[in-house]
Amino acid sequence: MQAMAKRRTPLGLSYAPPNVPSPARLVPATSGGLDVTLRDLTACDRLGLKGRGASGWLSARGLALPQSNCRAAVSAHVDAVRLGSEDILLLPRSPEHPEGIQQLRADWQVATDVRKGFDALREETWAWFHIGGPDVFHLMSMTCPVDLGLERFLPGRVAQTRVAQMDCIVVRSDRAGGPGFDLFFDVTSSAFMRDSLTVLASAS
Amino acid sequence: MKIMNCPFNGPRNSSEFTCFGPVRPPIDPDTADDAAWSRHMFQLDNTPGVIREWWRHTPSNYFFIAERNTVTDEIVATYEPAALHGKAITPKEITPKEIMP
Repeated sequence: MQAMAKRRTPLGLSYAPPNVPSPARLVPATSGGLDVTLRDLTACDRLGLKGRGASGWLSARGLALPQSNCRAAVSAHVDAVRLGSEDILLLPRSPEHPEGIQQLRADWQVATDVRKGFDALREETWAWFHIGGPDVFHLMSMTCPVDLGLERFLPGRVAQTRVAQMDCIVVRSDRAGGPGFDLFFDVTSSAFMRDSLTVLASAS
Repeated sequence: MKIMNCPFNGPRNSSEFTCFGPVRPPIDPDTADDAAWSRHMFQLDNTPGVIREWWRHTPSNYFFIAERNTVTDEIVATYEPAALHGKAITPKEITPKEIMP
């Protein structure tokens, strides 16, 4: 079978570099401000399935999907974020190892099931930021109306809400050994989101 | 900040919601005359008091029903659309006490 061309964001590789970036501080330590790091994971693999049959197709493959607005591990290398009864976002456990997602996508593309949902193109339409660092909870408290406190919004919780005045999906994802959040939002607003978080971190 | 309770996402700021108008009985386009069809498409009752409305939680694109007092803007109740089944989808009876503040 001919390999499918990998899709990229509308802004192209100039926006989302193909390699998984390392966390970088939003503002330099020398200039004060909050200690918050940002990783732009937009170029990393993910798979969004939506519509009638999406959850059934995944369940038939032995993946135990979580309840709505929760994130859970469904296989050795894949996590599932359930955004609705038939709206599921599949993420690699580690962005450096997308093999599980790639295999799932390949299986879904060749599946002949009448009802298997449709590809919601989350890897094209949504940017994916991960923010972390010691002051990440303080930063989010200034820009998100949902209480995302360390003890209130535990790992695996999902909030479909607003961040930086934009619709945004917030997933508590503790990566690199520390607490943090995955943010999914309109990819065309990526620069605005980054600038907004930077201004907030600088002014505090 | 006004808080609205989404049946799917829980209590959220009102800025996360969009109103999609009152719940109305369906109309059959094959049998409705022009006047009835025009009224259905372009006119609303603007009823004072508690009415049922379609609302959407925008970030999750979740549609639900809210009962809202159009005079005081108080949200009386919110629930899933499935709760409409078996219920009359006409506005509640309005009493003068509810209309006048």
